[in-house]
Amino acid sequence: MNLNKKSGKLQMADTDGLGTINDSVALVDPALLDRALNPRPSDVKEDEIITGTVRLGEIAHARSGDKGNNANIGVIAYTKTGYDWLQCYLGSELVKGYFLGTCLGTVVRYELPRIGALNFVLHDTLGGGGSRSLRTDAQGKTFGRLILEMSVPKPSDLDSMTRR
Amino acid sequence: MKKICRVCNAQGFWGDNIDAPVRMAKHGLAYWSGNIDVSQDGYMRKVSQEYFMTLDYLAEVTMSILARQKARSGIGYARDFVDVVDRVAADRWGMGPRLRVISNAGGLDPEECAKACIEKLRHANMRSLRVGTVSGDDLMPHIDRLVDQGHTFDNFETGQPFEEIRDRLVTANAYLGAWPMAKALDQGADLVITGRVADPSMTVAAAIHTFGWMPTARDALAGATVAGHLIECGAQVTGGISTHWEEVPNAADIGYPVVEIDEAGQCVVTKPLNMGGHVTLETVKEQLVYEIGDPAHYISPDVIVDFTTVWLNEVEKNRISVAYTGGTQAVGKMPPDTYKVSATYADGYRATGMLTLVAPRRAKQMGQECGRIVGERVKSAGFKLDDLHTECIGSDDEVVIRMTARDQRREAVERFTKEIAPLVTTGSQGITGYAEGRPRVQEVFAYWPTTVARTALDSNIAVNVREVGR
Repeated sequence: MNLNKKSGKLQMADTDGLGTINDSVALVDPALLDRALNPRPSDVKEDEIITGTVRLGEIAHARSGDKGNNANIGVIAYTKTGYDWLQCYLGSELVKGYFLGTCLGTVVRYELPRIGALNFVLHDTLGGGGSRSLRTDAQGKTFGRLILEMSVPKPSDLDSMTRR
Repeated sequence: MKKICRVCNAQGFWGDNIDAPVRMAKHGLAYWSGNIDVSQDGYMRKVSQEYFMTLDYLAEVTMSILARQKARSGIGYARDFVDVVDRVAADRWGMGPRLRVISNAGGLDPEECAKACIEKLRHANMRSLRVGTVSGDDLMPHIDRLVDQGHTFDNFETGQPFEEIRDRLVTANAYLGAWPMAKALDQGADLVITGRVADPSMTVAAAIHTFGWMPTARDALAGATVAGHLIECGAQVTGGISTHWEEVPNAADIGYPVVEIDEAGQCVVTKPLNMGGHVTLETVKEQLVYEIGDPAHYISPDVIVDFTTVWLNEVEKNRISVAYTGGTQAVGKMPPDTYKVSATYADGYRATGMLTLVAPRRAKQMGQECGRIVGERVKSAGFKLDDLHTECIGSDDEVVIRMTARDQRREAVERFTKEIAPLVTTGSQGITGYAEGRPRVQEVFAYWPTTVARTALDSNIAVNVREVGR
């Protein structure tokens, strides 16, 4: 997934295996684009300076799967601080934007704070599901790996969020 | 002394490792024989003289595959399972603690599956074993009557009315719960063969039988449901497909999971220690969130479970305990008064063809173009395909072009299969890899999730237990 800052378009460059047509581009909701380009997670302290980005995979691990034509992605923080950060930053609209063109329906987020996980249900996402889907990944198996490649603003206390 | 119900899963889906059930029964023997009576967490465990093995063969659309298999060969169950029974019987049954197998391999025909298994067991001289079946999940014999009585079977995901697909319906099966399986165990079944049941219910049935729970013991049922959910996909909780898969020890001999459930429904997730794989906080968390919707309302036919109260703790290496906030038990609520039904209907035909293309800097673009001209040619031949999907999997320099067509007309898809090979001489420079002949045309079975009132189905559910005998 690349943001083309010039054209203001989100490019699904890494999702060929998902069955998204290559180089397909779709216009992004301006608010979403703004947020992706200028991350302002509500928990970023005022004096905190954002110094670059990290892979979501630095902070969390994940697993994905299917239910009919819907996919689910569980994103699990490695630490408690990591979960608090994810809980503020990783909203359903961000996930919808990341899988734009693949996820045609709504994204609903659920929280499992005891195990530090967020569960995202992506509706209308698997091209019909079951044997009707024409995609290689008709069951959303790759989404967990893919979401961990999302670029997120580097938290100042990243050290307290990474895998022990 | 604490009584423990031990349940393992050795088959997560039809197509899983065919040796897993045999390996779990055989190489897990040291484990099952009670080497871990005294655990480091201080409990002196009373080793129950039996253990349970669950084997899952039915994914969402598997029933439709069985329906076609039955039409072709008369066999409406998972044949692999009969081989498993044969191999386990030869190897294992009659040694050590009592092994009791619970499987949904019966598919559309639990009775016929049982007969085939009895045949194998008789041959292996296992005449005192008892084989039980649970049937009644199949709605096909009743659907017209139920529709006449005013039951609707609309798609609960999309809201589409049942009438749209009724004449194309192939299968319709309700997800039954744990109670009929528990009844078969109560009647002494060593082998319980079912059709469609909720996956975790196989584990729940073992716990109900072991502890004698009543349907109102919802918190205990909820805990056992979590245990069942954690092991229902086999090695996915012992390291398979985990984010840090490369760290899994001895993945070639990956052990399948075991849950040790106590009377309150709490459990420890583990695996035979002499096999590969590992059970860690990470693998258990990943499996807990696997294929769930709202975690506060995980719905099974036995109970509605709140997953958000789950606490996980690493008791020792490869032993993760599952406990709950607000006391020691899970929180279970009364299950819905309907069963979920997984129906399938015929929705045309499909075929997939693949070629490899090496075209530095332009592979994706050229690959898409190859897909487009295939569509053009099929169209020129008189068939505008309902759907043609081209994926270019790889880099900008080289890709696998994967073209999949779907159409209501078999001839249209057949025509498509004849247009892959010509690309080798008419397509982009650098195209190769045509070695597997023309792709096979397959029927498409679409998935139709719906529900049925329990009251409409419960009287059809039958439990039948018999001895292998002579």
